[in-house]
Amino acid sequence: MLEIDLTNVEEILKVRTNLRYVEIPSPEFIKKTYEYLYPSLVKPYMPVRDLSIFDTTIYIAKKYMILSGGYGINACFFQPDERRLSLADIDFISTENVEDLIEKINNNIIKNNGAILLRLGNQEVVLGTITLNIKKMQWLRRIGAENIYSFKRTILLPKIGHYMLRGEYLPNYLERYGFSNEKEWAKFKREARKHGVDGFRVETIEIDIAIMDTPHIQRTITPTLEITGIEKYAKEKPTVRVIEPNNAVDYLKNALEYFYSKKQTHNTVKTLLDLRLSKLLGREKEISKTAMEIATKKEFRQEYESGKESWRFAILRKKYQRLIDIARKWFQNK
Amino acid sequence: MNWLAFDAIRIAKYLKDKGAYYPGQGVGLGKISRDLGISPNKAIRGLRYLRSLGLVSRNIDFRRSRYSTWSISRRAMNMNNILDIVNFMYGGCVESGDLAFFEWIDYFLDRYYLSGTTALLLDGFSWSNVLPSGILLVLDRDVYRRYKKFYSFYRNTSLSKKYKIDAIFVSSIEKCDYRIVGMDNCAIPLASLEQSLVDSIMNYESWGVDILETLSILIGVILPQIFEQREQRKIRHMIYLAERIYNREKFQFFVATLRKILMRYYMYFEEVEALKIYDGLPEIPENYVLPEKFSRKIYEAFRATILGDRIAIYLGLEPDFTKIVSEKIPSDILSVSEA
Repeated sequence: MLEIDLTNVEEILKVRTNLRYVEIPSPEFIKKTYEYLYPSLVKPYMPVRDLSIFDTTIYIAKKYMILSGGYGINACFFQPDERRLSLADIDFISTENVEDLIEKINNNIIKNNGAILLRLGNQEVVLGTITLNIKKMQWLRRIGAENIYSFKRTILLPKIGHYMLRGEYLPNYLERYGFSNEKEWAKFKREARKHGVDGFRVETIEIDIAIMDTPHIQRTITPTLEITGIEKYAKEKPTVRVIEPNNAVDYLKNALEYFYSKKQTHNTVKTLLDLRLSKLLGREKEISKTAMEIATKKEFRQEYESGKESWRFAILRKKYQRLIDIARKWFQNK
Repeated sequence: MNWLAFDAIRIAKYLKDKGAYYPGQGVGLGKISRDLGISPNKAIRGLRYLRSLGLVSRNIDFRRSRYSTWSISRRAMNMNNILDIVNFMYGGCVESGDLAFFEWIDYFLDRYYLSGTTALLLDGFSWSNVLPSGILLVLDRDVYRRYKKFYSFYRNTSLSKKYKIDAIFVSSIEKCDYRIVGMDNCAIPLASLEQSLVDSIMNYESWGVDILETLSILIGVILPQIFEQREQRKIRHMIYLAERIYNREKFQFFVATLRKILMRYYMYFEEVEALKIYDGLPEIPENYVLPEKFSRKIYEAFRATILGDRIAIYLGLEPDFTKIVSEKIPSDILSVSEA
């Protein structure tokens, strides 16, 4: 585990981040990605967020758990220009005791210098390890979702150009952990400003783990951010354990049915797009009727083209401007 | 410490016999001192000790502000267990009823010490105040024959049906950390806190170990103290003792146990000190797995102490997630907002 004494701010400049499987991209990368996806992508920091998710996924899915959910499906089964952005959280499936596995994963993160201990006087905080996400666990209990764990991981990111990254400014984050009570705090703030460390961010990513028994396959994972082909940021593209696609289609079909019946527009569109996976397995006919029905309805059409959350379909919209175009290409009976 | 505990236990037993339960009944200090034949100073020390454990309550008489009475608190639910220990050590005599248990063992044995959960309890550490079903003795290999002789006699006594004895032999008990503790009618060679924790974990299936109680003491009492005082010496000492006495396989087991406990502490409460200690522990093979039965005890000890059922619910750990259930993912989970 790396230890940084914040009385010497320059130490943090040398380390910059706790991400180890990716390189921090240049500001040019964000600019070009933003331009490439303009006007669909209103949140330019999203490609950077993929760094954190990709890095965390490697620790977890290379050996211990099965990658699932939107990120898993899009990063493992679809070509870069066919992806839906899924950058909120990462979903995994575990067939073993989750807490035992998290212990091993944390151990790997520590050994790989993916965890950083920040210290100022008597205050200490660790970034980069995986801990329980209490708030989300409570929410999961409230909605009655059982056998699902929620964890979180904090990522330290340096300032990238003038772009606003996601997460909390480092000084604010430290203040929340009581660092401002230390007598060296004022000096740290001064030095941080001088060296631009006050622009560092701490972002938190969510990791959801369902406990169940499901088949999986091995697949190479490619980061979502490599959409424009401008730069490559992944140091390696390892093989990870990912949910067996036939099973994924079964789960998604159930989910689509549920969301559609509950009139949850965004979730319906999102799930339908992930269900393109069925075509790769020759099972598109099972969804064909519902897909065409959804694609022709106004509210779903609008959700895809101009909805509040439509930035998630930014990559797809470069290729398919309307939802019906996707439905025809991926689900239509021939 | 131990004489104090002994007096305290006598006082507790006395209050119990008198039916002095809070808030209904109470007994004054003078009467306690007179009836037990101990000085008021000694009695008040014993009462304060019991009060620090939350076992007795002090009741102020509002009509006479300087007068107070003492009674057994509502928390003192498992008082019988404390009394069991005392009976075992002092009253639990062999056949004739002449000798206290350890005087009797001393008659047969040499170069041994008492360890396991009993040692922790006698040292004043307890969580649920649970007495194991027997005792764990650590003996020098040199006294193996004598122990055999002792045990062949012991197993024919009626006491052996009540208290089982487990023995482990080490190359030299001088390598262990124990001390002679004087009590009223005998002196007991008693393992130190660290040594009892090490011996208990290493011999968790022994009659002298209640592993849930031991782990509860470690998780609920010792570790919070270590984290609070940022004092890693105790953990380092435990590692030292474990490596010194036990073989490699057992040592790995001990380290794996500590790793699991510390990481869980960190995972639940983001206790940085736990992670720092974890990081400094010796490495074990990555594929090393603790026995399921034992892992389960660690989880239970967390639930019995710092987590507690209510906090477990708060943390979202209810119901029990360690069971693997093959069910489909509820559709709602897929609707988690990405904003």
